Amino acid sequence: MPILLAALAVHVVRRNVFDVVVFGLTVVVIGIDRYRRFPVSTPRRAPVPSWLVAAGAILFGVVIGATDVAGWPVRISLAVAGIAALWRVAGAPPAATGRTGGPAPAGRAPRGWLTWAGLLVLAALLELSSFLQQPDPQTGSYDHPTLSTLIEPLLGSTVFRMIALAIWLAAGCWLVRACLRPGDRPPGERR
Amino acid sequence: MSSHLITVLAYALIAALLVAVELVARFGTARVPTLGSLLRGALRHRAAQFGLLLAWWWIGWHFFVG
Repeated sequence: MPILLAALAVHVVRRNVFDVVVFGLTVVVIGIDRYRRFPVSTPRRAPVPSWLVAAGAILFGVVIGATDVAGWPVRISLAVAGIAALWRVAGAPPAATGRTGGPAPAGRAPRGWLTWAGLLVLAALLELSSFLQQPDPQTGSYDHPTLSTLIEPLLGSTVFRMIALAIWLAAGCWLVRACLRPGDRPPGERR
Repeated sequence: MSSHLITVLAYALIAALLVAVELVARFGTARVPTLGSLLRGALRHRAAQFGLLLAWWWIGWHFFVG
């Protein structure tokens, strides 16, 4: 929650209305869910096969990536994907316990998690440093580029956009699956 | 060396380190969890579920819609 509030504050500074609304609503949703669970609407069911998810993500990437950058098909498809994912997770039964069905283990981070945390914090600090050295919140800087400044020119390429969209949707599907079955690992996955 | 190049190299170094840590977690002997297992552990918590879903959604909106 503190991270979300900090991110919300940044978007208020940047005056990005959409981002402020989305982040603000998420804070509200988390707050509501903490005190009053959303009604469970869907029973636990078999997950969608991975090959079908991959095929769907590729199809999504190709079809939506072929449309204009920031056009209405992209906006609508991304909005629908996000709402569908949130709906699926919000309506799922309380956090699963893993395959054994026993109670969830006490919340203790695995050993070595600091390595990941350290690298991600480093990336966040570099991004923040670049952002703060921009001429203003809405204008990128060539000398101190943020990730957005570096990646957005690449998204002008249709092929790159298709690949990126497919990866984005596949990542979302993985995330939803992991939310519905936390602690579970797909068969055959190592460690 | 320009500021632009230094910044780009810094991002590239962090990306390379992230890949290296994942490879070590999967194939090495160090006791480092894979990113997937770390996320699955975090996703036992409701707030983390919503937070990570939001992050995923926001990344898509930010880069593909702008």
